[in-house]
Amino acid sequence: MAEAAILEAEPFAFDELPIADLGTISIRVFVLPPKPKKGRAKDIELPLDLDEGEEFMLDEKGATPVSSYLEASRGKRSVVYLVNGQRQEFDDNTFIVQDLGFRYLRSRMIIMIDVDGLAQEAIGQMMQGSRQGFYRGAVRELITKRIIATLKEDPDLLRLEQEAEEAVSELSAGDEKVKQTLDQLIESHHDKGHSFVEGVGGAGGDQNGDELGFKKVNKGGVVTLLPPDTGHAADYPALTSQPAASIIRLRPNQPREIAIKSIPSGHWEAVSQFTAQSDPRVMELNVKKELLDGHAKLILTFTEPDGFDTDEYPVHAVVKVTARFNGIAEPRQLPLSVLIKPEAYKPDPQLLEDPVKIKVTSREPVKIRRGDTDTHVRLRWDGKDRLLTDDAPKWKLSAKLVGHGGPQPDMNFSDPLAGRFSLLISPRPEWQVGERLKFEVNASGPGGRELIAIFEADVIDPPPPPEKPEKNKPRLVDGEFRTGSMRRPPYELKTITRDEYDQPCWNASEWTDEDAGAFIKPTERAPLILIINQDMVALREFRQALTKRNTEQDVQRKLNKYTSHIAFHLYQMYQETIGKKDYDVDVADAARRAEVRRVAMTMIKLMDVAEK
Amino acid sequence: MALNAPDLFPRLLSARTTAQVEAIMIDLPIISPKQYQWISADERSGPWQPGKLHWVPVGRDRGNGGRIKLAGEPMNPLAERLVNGMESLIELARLRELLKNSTALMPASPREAVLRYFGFPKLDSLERLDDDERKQKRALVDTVRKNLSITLDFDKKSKQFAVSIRDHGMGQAPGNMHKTLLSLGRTDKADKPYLIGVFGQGGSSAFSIAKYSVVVSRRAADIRKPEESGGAGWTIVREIQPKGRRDPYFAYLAATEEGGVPHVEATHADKAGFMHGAHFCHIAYDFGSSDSAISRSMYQSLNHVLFNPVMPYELFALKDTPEPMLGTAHRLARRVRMLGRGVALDKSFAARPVI
Repeated sequence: MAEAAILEAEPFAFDELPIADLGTISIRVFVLPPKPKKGRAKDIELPLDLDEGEEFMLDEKGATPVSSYLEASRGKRSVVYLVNGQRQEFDDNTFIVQDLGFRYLRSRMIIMIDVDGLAQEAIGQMMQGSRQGFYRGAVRELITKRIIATLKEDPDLLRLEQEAEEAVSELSAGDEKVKQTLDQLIESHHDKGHSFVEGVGGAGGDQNGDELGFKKVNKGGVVTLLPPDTGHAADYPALTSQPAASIIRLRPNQPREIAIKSIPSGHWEAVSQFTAQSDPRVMELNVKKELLDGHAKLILTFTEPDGFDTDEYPVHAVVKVTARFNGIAEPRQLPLSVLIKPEAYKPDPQLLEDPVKIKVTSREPVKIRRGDTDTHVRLRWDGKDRLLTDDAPKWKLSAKLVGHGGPQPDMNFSDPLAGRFSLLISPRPEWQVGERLKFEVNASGPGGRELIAIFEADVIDPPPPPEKPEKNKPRLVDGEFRTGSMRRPPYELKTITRDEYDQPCWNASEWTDEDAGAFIKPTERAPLILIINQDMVALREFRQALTKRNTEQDVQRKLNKYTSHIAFHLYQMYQETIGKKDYDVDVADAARRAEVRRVAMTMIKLMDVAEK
Repeated sequence: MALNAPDLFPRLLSARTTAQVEAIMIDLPIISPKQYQWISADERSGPWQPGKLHWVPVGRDRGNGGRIKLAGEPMNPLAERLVNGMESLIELARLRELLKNSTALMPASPREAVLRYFGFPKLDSLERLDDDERKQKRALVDTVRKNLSITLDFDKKSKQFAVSIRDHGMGQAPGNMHKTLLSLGRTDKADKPYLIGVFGQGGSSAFSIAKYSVVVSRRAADIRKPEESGGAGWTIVREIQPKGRRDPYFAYLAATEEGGVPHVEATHADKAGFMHGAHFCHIAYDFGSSDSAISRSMYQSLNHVLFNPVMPYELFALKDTPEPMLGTAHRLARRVRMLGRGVALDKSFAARPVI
């Protein structure tokens, strides 16, 4: 007995912490909208419940939307770890960019981690007497893993990131001649033995400008444009779309026209069969096709049915366009990624003290990705949020995997907000790709009342990492394979003007007249994007000077030279980043921003001197 | 000036510059460190002189320099002081509860204590309440925040900042101040889950950033033990750099060899309106900068360090009207509520297991 008492009184040794009982953390994430366009900031009204003496307009000040909420310089300490509400540890927005993958949201996002739910021993292990941050040991590492697993695939964060991406993808495409020059520069660069990697999506080129960098491959009996590490080599023609954006944006109930063309364009005459297959998972998407001279026209319409739950947005679909050409055995196929979402969301619904329904609003079957990241299943009920979040909540949520002999996965819920919440499922390692699982979500309330929602989910593989350095591997290619276009990585060349300055530029939340250009790394959804500022003040002045002493053609030729060289420099800067992690993304991006400015100024100066 | 001079207490409470503190000290019977100083735990450089004030190491630890000089940046010690103030308010409520019901179970956490004693939930959850309830809880918050304040003053002539933290909590009797407010690492918090701190020394690091710190405290009358003084204890803290040694330490003015602080009678404290609680004023506080931008950055910085504080407080930053301080989490939640869903996001995940 006495011995037992002594054992109980002994503190845990460092490595004796019962890891299974570390406890819990709470995560809260805030994302603010981008800063309003210049001139609109004054229109924002003060809130009616403004606190006495509170400088609410402070919220609008600062370099980024969250500047006035941060302690120090931009982007610093945007992830905070709290013990009893007091910040004891922090991460910078490098964590948001590199660990969570939200590049566009980094200047708009603050994450709060409350560790009060951890076991006292775990807190004791992390806290230091100096109060200068947590001890970066095993417990801290596990917390980081849990944050990443929770937020990396959060559908709301992904939606906001995609919306920010969308703004960039809608910038004007670069000039075709500039793309040709840029391609030549890249070719020559690689011929001299530099390394490179592939991204995904469209690229500039000598045929159309939107497909360069893709190899023609035969995959499963059809030929399509894909990155060079997929399938077997094949030959032209291939299909392409216009607009050639990596994702086709579609608003509900608003038809959108897409042109389908062949590469080379002259092959279109030989089209003998043409089909456009809508996505069977998205029955609301209608695809009409029309064959015309030189191309085909698709009209995509997403018809929102009565009672459609707007929580289902954004809806992703893939439209498969296939064509057969006379004299060519394999059909050509073009998969079009379509993203459907409304411009504005409907107002919050009226919620009840006595809820009567609960439903799954993620599209079924839900996709559960294997790996370390949690899958979010969106749900909605018509009960007030406080019924679930009060200190002694009247209702409780639970979930279980049904009809499955294996162990239950870890499942948790996000806090409800206006009746919406998510079920987070941590996939079990033994689940196999292709397996279909059935889940039941139960809300139990006073008097034994129960609300139940059931959904099915398919287990899928996680996506490949968004970028990886190319590894040379043995490959079988035919003799006609054109190594030049094979090696060229895909990219999109965009131009930006003053009217579009409210986009993120490197580490800043918007562009300025001093900025020459920027690149945006490829992601799972978009290729490398090179952006050139047409309204950089030095370039504007140079352009005016050129106009006075040159013909229009000469002016354009010289400007193209400038643009292609700056784009090439950006391309090389991007290559330098491959496979490396920035210690501080803000500092690294600020340095890149300054570098491309210097290069642009040098280029303009050189061209100006040559002119004179 | 005698220790019982009627103007001593108001002068202590209003001192905001080194000149004002030195003017107070010059009239007091203070034994210079040259005559009395701690050489080590057991050895003194001279004899104790009864009836005089002596410089005694904070925590009665001659080697306290390393334990006090822990502030990496200027806002953290102030946040620690504010946390101490919150604890003092919670503990006062707890002691009053025990007076009524000596068997009342203690709250399991600081948040539970605040809900039980002050009636409002976590500050970041206020914005998720329905309109009527939010207004009602917010009114409670606005009442409670008046019990804890932090004030920034700036003296243009000397270009010195002073930061005062005032709580209307339980306070300490003069005879206990050296065992509590002026101790280091002596804490009874560890077995009180409703209190916040752990190590019992966080606020002391503010001593190292200020030239002088004036500390005043008075025990609330209804929780005072019969043997405890009803007056207010006070002291001044400063750094002492002994000649020929490289180990500076922090010392306070003590009236007894055991480390007890001087005090004023209850009538003096009453007259100054100091009914209970504590007052810490850190004078010539080193913010690393001396421009007025400190007043603006203090709002952001304190809200960020106390991101979701257990209790609200008020900030008077070079002005007479207070800023309500509820933490950045509340500021963000409120902003998102104002902007609306679809434009901004406020999403939370409670109790995520760490495995």
